[in-house]
Amino acid sequence: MWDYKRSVILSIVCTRIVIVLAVAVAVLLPYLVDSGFFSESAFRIQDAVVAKLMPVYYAVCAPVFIALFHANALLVAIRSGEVFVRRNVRYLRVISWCCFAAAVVFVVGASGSLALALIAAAAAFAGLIIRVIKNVLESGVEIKAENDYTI
Amino acid sequence: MGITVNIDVMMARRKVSAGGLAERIGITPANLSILKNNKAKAIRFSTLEAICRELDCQPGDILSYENDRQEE
Repeated sequence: MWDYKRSVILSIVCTRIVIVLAVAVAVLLPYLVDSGFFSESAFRIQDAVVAKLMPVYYAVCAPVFIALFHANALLVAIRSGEVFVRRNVRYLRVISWCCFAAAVVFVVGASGSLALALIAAAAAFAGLIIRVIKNVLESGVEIKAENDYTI
Repeated sequence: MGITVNIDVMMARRKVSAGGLAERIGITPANLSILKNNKAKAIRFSTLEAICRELDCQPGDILSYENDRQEE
């Protein structure tokens, strides 16, 4: 049956798949652009456009990888039963700031592109939601400490 | 300090060990240690009642209040 532990394991697997995909794209992107992959694919995007967006992708890689590794560490901690601990609050704070950093990168790299501006808005929104979750977890840590020290 | 727990004074007076008292009041020795070291944030009425029963004392015998505010 489906349970909480399996759900956490699924999240860990998904996070790691995303890490591998992001690394693969980072490594293969120049070769794909050179070989004209994007204009021939179903996306029908000009390779010159993708080439122009490449610096944005590489700039956003830093916050994305930091966020993904912190998400992985957070999920590993949750799997081992450590949920309401200060370290997890720190992980969520870092992930939230990484989302805002990614939004800034997209805004700077957008240069009038509506699509990138929308992605920037989505990243900032995700950062905001994660910040709210961080605040909830922080309260949870306080409540747990209060509960643990009630004799 | 605010509220201070003086349970060790009363335990010495009644000559009871920490392990024995913890078992009789139904808490773990680790939790009794938290109480003795003034690390506790709250105490349940049921725990306080058990302590008073086992040590044959009043809550005021094991809890004391000190005013932290500096006199101006």
